[in-house]
Amino acid sequence: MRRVLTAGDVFLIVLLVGASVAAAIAFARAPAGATVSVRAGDEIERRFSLSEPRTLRVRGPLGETEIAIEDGAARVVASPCARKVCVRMGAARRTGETLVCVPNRVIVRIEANAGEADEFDAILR
Amino acid sequence: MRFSAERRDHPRARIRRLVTLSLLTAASLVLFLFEALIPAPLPWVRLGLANVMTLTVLYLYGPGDAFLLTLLRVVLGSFLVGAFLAPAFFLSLGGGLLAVSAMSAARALAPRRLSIVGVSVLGAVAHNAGQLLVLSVFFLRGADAVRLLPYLTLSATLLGAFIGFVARALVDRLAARAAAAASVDADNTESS
Repeated sequence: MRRVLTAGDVFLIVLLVGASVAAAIAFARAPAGATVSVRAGDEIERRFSLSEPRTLRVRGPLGETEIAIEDGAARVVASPCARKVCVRMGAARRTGETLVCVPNRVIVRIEANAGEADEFDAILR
Repeated sequence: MRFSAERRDHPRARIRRLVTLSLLTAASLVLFLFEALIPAPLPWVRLGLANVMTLTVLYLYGPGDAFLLTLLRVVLGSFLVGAFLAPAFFLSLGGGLLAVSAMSAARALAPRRLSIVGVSVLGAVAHNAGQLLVLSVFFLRGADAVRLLPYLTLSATLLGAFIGFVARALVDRLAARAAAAASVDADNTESS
């Protein structure tokens, strides 16, 4: 009879599970972010404060993605992409958390206070 | 564990191999399409059913055929879902090629240490890593890709182990059949 798992299998699985759980815990303990960086398509990256509620509409190759900022978190509310992975990723509030929509090329990233937020862009829109 | 039961020189064995490979390629396409239909419980998490076929071909016929099967699945699969040369195509190409490379290497370098289950786990993790690699080349910054890695690695490890058990069952059955068929071929050759 062949063994179900070799020692190498068990070692590999334990190592990978341990490392990913440790990394996930480390990420989950990151401090709450202060600003959110938004990139869409070939647009220039823009930053907004997380403390002011607002709705952003950004344009990617497929159409407009709607991003809501409220309660110190950002989330993708509506997206023209097929699988809506970005919408289902939920809200991001901790430094380093990222929402990505691959088809519409939108990246929303939470940052610690990285300089001034681009408040004027938002007002001019 | 070696499955060299089939005699490559016998013409009937060659035809049998061709038919088996074609059937496994078709099966991997069907599984790929089926999986695209089930809504994933979490974004980015896929069961990886098609990898059962890649693993089976790797263990029955070796790395060359496993690479071929992966390429065919990625290209034909993208035709069928209408994503040829779309971002999703490059993600699945990058993931598929890195996965089959990792599995081939693992099987060749550590045949005693890792069973098909461990090889499958490596393949699943490599698949995610390949996708993130393509993502970060295309438009994601490296730091963002790393941020997604732990969750993907965790789910890939567990699902990869499951897929490995399924593949082992299939490889055992197909190897037993191939051995039986080869002995029939040998008998026929001797009597004729």
